[in-house]
Amino acid sequence: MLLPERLREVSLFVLERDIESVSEVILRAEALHPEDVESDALTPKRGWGEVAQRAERLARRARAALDAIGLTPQAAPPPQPVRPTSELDALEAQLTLTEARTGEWQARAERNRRELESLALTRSQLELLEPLDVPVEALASLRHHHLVLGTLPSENLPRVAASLFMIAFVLVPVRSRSGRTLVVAASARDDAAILDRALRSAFFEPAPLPPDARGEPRQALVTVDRGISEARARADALATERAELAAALRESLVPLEARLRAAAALADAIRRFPSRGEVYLVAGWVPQRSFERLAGEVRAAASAPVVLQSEPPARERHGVPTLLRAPAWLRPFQMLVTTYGLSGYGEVDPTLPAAITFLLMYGMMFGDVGHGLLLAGAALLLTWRSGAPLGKVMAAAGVSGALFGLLYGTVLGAPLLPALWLRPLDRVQDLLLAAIAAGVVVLNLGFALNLATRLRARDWSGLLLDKSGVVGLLFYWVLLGGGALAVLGRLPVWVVLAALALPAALLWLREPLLDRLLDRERAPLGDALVTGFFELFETALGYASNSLSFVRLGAFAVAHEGLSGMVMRYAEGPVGWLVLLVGTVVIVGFEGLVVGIQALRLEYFEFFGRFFRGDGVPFVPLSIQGGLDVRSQI
Amino acid sequence: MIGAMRHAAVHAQVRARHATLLEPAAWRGLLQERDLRGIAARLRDTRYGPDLPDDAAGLERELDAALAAETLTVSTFAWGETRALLDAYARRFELANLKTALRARFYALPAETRDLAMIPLPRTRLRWRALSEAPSMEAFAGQLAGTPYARPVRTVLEQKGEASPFPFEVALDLAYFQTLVRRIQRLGGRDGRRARLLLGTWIAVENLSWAFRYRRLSGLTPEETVNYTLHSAFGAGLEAVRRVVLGATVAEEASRLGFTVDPDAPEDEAVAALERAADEARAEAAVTMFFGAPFDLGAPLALLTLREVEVRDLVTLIEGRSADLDDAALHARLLGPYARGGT
Repeated sequence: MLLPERLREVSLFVLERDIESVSEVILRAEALHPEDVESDALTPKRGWGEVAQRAERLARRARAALDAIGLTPQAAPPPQPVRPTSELDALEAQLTLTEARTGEWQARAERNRRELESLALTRSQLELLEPLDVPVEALASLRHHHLVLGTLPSENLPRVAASLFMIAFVLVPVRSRSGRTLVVAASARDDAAILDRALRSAFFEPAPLPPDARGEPRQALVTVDRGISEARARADALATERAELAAALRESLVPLEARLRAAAALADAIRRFPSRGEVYLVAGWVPQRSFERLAGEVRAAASAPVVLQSEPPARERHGVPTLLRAPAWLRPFQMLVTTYGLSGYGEVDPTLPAAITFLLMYGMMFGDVGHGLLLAGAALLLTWRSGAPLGKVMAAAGVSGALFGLLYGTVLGAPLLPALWLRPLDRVQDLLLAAIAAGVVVLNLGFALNLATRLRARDWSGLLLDKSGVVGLLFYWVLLGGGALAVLGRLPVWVVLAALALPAALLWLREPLLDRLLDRERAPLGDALVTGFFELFETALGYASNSLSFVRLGAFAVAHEGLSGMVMRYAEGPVGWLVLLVGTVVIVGFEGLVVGIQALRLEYFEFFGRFFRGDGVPFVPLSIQGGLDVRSQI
Repeated sequence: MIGAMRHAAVHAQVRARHATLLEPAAWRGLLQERDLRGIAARLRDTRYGPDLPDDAAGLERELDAALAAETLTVSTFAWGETRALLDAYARRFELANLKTALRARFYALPAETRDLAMIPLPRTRLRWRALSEAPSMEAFAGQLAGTPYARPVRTVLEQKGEASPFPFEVALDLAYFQTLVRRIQRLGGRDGRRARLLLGTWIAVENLSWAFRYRRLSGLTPEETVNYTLHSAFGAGLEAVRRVVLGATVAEEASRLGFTVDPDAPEDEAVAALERAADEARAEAAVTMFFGAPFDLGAPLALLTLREVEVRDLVTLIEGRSADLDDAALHARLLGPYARGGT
């Protein structure tokens, strides 16, 4: 739970005759994150690129046919084995037959749509000209004016008008449809070139005056209207025909599309596998727990022995993907982490500690049985209505607030219960000290997780000399513990300073030391010393401010009780219930929000900053589903 | 409540990421390096990761990839109008790749050249190779179906055919920036002010640069220049473009935006100086904006601005070292306050 799923780096050497069946098993299992292999000896085979492209083209055609008749693709993979090399011809033949039926319908529907559009365009043009008693054909031969009709993207209409600021012009929009506007534009004949060029640069598509229209526009309109009625009747008939076609083809076309999509995904995967001669190399990452099952399935699918090499990733290996598997109850808390980043493979997955520390910090700041339960109830309502994972997190935070309410003995701000620990307003100093102590625990947890990560990665220099490593931890303990003892007068200051000297010197000289230890190119010593000094200074300040930052846990608890008590004090008299209602809503809503923000800040700045990089690569396995999205675990 | 909580979470997350920006001390180290191997070695210890190559082109590509990944990641933290704006802003990397694919297709660029110019993106629906090898612009447009790029490409295709990539690029740029402008204009209050300051300045200067460059291109009429630029661009919209096509100088337009440019400089240099002045101003604004209230868009935009400036400064450093540029000339070209703090 604290670490990403363990993976094995797998290399499969597969004979060409088995590559399809083996790859299919791998894609169906959705358990292998492919890895690019760079090698001069192994190169992808060109033939598979062509197969993949062909399968992809066919899958797109099948998808287009589905779309044309209003069917949706099937989500489940095809049950029968998929063999792109041997079955694409048959599948294409089947698709071509189907397309003949859908295509014939589509062609008629498209013809009818264009005719309807053309008639509608003609009608609009004629409507514009309707007031004129001039024959349409006469407009085409104006002597002193230049007149054009056509369409342009609607958003470009004001652009054209704005661009023609140097000539006199007329631009009349007639109507808009599908994002384009029909316009009539006119200028003096001398400015025709400017008008035309401006229109063209606004992606104007000219629509010449209706060539078939003769006589006055009013007479021509009657003929056009008759044509429109006929085209609309044909469109209705075509829609009925489409529904019948969908019913007839559903059983064949939907599985065909799924099969072609799977073939395309399979061929696309194989074309990436490098090969030499008859042998293919399938390389990638497989979860440890899926490895044996996948290996068994691969061997069963191959007709010849498959050479299978697998090993856990070397410690210094980069680019290993991360697969997180959290139990269902922890999953909502993953959002606390993933908004920050995804753990690298070698990193600790901080979801569990983040969930625990977030809930404890939230509860400590928002401790009240009544307010906590109200928040939990509202959050559960939100989860029920929207399914948002944040609702579950807030519900848990509300429960934590209620539990701390038991420790503080408060219900809706009133001290109705015996305090199991303390009442915040009575023992402010104790609470603030407890808050700092909680911060020290959280920071030490951060240190511990950083040490565990560095140890796991065998990053000795980071483990020892990092400011969140052993030396940093030592410095922190001496600074904090020694400082506290010196303030209390239990230890002389010089002893504390002497104890600080060694870790401080190591932190100061960290870069020059690492340059020498790791045999790196050495930076000028003077620069390193100056930079190191300021970094040491910043580190010391940082440790102090990081710890004191947790004072807010206690401060908010005190503020919460104070605010709640004030609401209770004024909740008397005839409108007392209203004061209580509004006050409670404000406290649960606004203060609950502010407390959440503070808890998140502490998580991200003080806790995560110690150990978490969050620059992992998500594990995305090969899938037979092709174009349909493979659900990532993240 | 959830909205404000998420906003605060974004802010906290972004501030945590701010710590991964290169500090003046790191810049000092980088600027002392004389060759690419040294620069790459130092960068491997930073946010840019241990897998950086040693060659200039590869390094720059990885830096661009890191910038794109950060922009895309930050956009996923937000929601609503803010998310829409950050998504629109993040789309510029996809747009850059799309334009590369377009040019690769038109000019039949070799696959290696094309691949080197492509920014690796962590998530995109588009297949760059298939796009750059599309047999026709019809097929190219077909592959864009369902994306915001389909409509501008289709519009140009229907009207202008396949003559040149220029109108396609113009249409794609305009569609991108118009969307961005609309998104910014929809934001009110502090979010809107922050976005106008950081993105609005960028858009305004970009629009002016187009106008000046189109003016100099032979054959583009004033009407075409006006149609190929933004009409709403935060102080450099339609009126500014009209002034440019009627002969305004870079210095005059720069002063209207509050920048100073040498009036005697050649136009190319003056445009570059304006862009640089605007970038420096954005970087400085981002530094001060970063530490603000947790309930607005300032921090995410400031982080992205500072990261972009950092990447551009790193590219300047890489190019400078590759070209044996002397230190003074190199330092003069750095934009970011942290990089300049390291000189």
